[in-house]
Amino acid sequence: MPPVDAPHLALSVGFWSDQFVNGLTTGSLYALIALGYTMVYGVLKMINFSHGEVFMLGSFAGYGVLAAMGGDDISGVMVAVTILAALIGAMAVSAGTAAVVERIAYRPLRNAPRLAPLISAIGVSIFLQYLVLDQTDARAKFYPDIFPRGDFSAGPFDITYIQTFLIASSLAMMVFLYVIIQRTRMGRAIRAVAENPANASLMGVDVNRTIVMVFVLGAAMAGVAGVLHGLFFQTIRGSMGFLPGIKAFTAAVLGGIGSIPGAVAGGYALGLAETVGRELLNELPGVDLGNQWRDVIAFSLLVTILIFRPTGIFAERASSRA
Amino acid sequence: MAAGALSVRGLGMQFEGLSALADVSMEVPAGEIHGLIGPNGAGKTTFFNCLTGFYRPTAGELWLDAQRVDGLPTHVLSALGVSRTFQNIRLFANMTAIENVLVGSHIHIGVGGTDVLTARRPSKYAALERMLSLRGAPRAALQGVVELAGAVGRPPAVRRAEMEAVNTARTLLGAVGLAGKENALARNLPYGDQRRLEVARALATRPGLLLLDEPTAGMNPQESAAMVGLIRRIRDQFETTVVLIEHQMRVVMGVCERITVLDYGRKIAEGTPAEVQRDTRVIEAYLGTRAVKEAGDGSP
Amino acid sequence: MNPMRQLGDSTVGRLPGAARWPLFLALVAMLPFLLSDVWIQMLFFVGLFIVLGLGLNVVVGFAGLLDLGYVAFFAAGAYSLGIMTSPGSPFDLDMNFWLVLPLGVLIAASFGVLLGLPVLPLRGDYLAIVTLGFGEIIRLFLVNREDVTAGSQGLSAIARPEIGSFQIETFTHWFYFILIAAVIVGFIASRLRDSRIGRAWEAIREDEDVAAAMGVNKVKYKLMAFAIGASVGGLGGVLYASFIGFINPAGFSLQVSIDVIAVVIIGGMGSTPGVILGSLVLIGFPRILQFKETADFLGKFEWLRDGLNGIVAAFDTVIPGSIGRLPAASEWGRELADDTRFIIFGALLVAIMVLRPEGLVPSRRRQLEFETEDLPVPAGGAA
Repeated sequence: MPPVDAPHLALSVGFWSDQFVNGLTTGSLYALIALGYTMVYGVLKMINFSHGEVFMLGSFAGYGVLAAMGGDDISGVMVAVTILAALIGAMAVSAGTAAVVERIAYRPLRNAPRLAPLISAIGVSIFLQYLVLDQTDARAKFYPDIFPRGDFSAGPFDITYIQTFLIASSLAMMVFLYVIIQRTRMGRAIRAVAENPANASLMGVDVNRTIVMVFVLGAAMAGVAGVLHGLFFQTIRGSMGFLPGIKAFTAAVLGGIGSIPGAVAGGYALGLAETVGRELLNELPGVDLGNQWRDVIAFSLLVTILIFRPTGIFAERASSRA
Repeated sequence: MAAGALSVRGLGMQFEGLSALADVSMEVPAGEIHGLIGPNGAGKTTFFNCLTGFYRPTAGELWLDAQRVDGLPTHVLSALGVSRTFQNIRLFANMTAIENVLVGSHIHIGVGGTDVLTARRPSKYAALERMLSLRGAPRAALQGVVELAGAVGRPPAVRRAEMEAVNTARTLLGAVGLAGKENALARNLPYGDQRRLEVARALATRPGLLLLDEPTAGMNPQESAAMVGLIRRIRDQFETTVVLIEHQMRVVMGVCERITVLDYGRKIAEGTPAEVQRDTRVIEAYLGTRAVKEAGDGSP
Repeated sequence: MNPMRQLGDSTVGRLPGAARWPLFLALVAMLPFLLSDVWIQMLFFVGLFIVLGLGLNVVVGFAGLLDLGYVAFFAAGAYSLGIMTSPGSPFDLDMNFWLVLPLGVLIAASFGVLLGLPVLPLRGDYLAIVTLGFGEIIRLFLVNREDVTAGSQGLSAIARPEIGSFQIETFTHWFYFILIAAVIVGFIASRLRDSRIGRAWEAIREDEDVAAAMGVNKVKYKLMAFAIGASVGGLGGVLYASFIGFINPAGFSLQVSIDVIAVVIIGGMGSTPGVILGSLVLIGFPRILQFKETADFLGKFEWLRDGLNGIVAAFDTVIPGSIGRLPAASEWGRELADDTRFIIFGALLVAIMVLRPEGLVPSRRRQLEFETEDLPVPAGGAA
């Protein structure tokens, strides 16, 4: 979040609108990642702990494409072409990883005791994270600084080009996903499996294939988020998946886990809570939450929701067991 | 525990607009064996789930003796004397038969204080309630520490309590015909034994009100007959009120003193087995409208 | 004399079992006479992770709750001791080790209760993610609240235990100290497992709704398991901080949680021998790899490295790319024990879950539980 810790300009309109735009920016990323959590949860009733790492791999894949196509030397029309290529590459790598992970680590455990897939997911997460850390010697990589600088102004809002691009492409991906889920055969199959796998199977839906598709779609969203994250923040590292992972999960819970529109709403809500919400808290006397406490906000929010709306949010009742 | 009289007043249960139970009322006097019948999906198991706190009824009241009990948490209801078996057997599959029964006697192995019975019914604001219940936290924490210390230190009182519980458990296993199978893992028991083990486990909680969900499902006629005998013995020996869901009419008619019939979540009839058998609405619910007309045509 | 044990294991024969542990412990107690200091130091860490593993085992193995933020309680214990005894602490309390030991355990337990209270009534998955987040929050707190924790500069000269005029100092002293701690924790855990509390945990793990219907207050017993796990984590933290003498936030990362989780799960959930073996293999072995002797030994395999690098180079000429060359053979041990260790742990966790969910040394129950077959099999097979 580069521009956040500007001098404290309480009550200035520009300050608050900046916070708002920053909130939308990070919110877009949370929403994109949250989609993967919520879809997998909707179908398998399982927290896919490795999803944060899938996001991280997407970011590194995008970096690889950008570096291979010239890195900092890219200019002109090629910028658009390479970024598109990076997005596609990231989606492919993330989706491929998720599909392989599902096959190896989750599918054999679908009927195992409830702890088993959870532990397996943690194992995958650790494996992927340390694999990348090891390959990069735990050093950060830097996305080439190729995105045109500048900003749009609309009233009190200043939105940089990159923020515009990030928000717009996130929204485009969400619409794309929505269309797939609502309008295609595959989407119908996904909804049927989420509703009741046994029935779906009776109706001729290939449940295994559908579950793989759920992972692939969610991972593709995370891959896009990875590239956008890289373009915006520029620094990426092997451990980058951890916090966005937890936060995106928080977003999914916030919006009602299992619900796709809920994940989007939760993502933006969390993004805004971390920026606008934190500054609002800082307006209170005696409160001074530095930037480093941003992560605590998300976490406190998660625990608070879990305390106050545990069942209301999940639309599940007492005796249902996954 | 002495038999518990159950009073159900206008009970309703809604799932997201779907009404599983609506305005069900019934009175089961202490010591009665009461049947609950109805076609599949009539709401019988939902009714049990409301009685045991698995679901929280969306309307109506439940009274056990003179206490209102709807909305209480499951373990509190159990402590108040409501115990049950399950239609699809739900034993602790990887524990032995006797361990299953010992879990049932959990709160009667009274060491380091029994669990705090918050018999207060929670309000709508469950989260707020939970915060307020922190007032009892120091006492609960102290009790927890005492219980832990008892388990680790194992003073004579604890050993005696455990020994007594084991003896009771053996007796109960003997009573349901599982003597000698104490150390078999629950999931290795034959089907009929598993059903009987569930009954023994439910009895170990010392229920005033025993809810049996299809106790003879999947049993052959001899086993069913034995189960009927067992249910009667239980009522007499353990002084419990029994409510049972049953599909086998021979069992229902043979053992139940009175019967309530549910259909689509509503009570459509109540009475002695003979009365219920004659009730046209019951026949209608079970066999469809045409059968009733034919029956009407055929008999004087 | 516990009736449950007699019942449960009547066919196993307890007498050899009763003698097994004292014999094992006597053998372990002789190790300092046979081994050099590096080995004893390594064994201290093995012992430390046995203590932590036994604590987490109560949570994961007995009660079936997945706690991924165990480091938080470890840190709570370590920083309790650091803050209350280190001369560099912002509070400068300069307290006695033996006084802080129970305090640290208590503080960690309170953390456990406070964290568990809102989350434990919910489904198990949420506990996993909340504890994961909490582990990270603790680290943020340690780094950022310099007024309490001295921040990233850390706390040094942390108190060591004294018994009368005798000070616990050498590796050998510490070895015995951690051994005693492990025995106490192991004893407590086994007593709890064989009590009505342990039965309640097992019932909750099997089917928590049914457990509640049988009168088990599931929130209370989950909280109990969680608090015990947290206390033991705190105990481990106090011992670690005192042994190492200096702590800073870097030592309390997610990696500690991963280490303990791996020890418990790979060793065998619910199984004490599993935890011991898990700690030996997963904590002990990587440390052995880092010994100078190991590096010297591996240094003799320089020829192997040359050979392998030759193959790599051959590949490189066929498919041009930047495939890295192997590091010097003497570095292999260190490399393997570093980040590579976690790659292996991650893969092992998946492999264990998929191939052998009961772990390396299964507990009696776990072993049975995971061979799930839903159809009832005639009785007598396992009694």
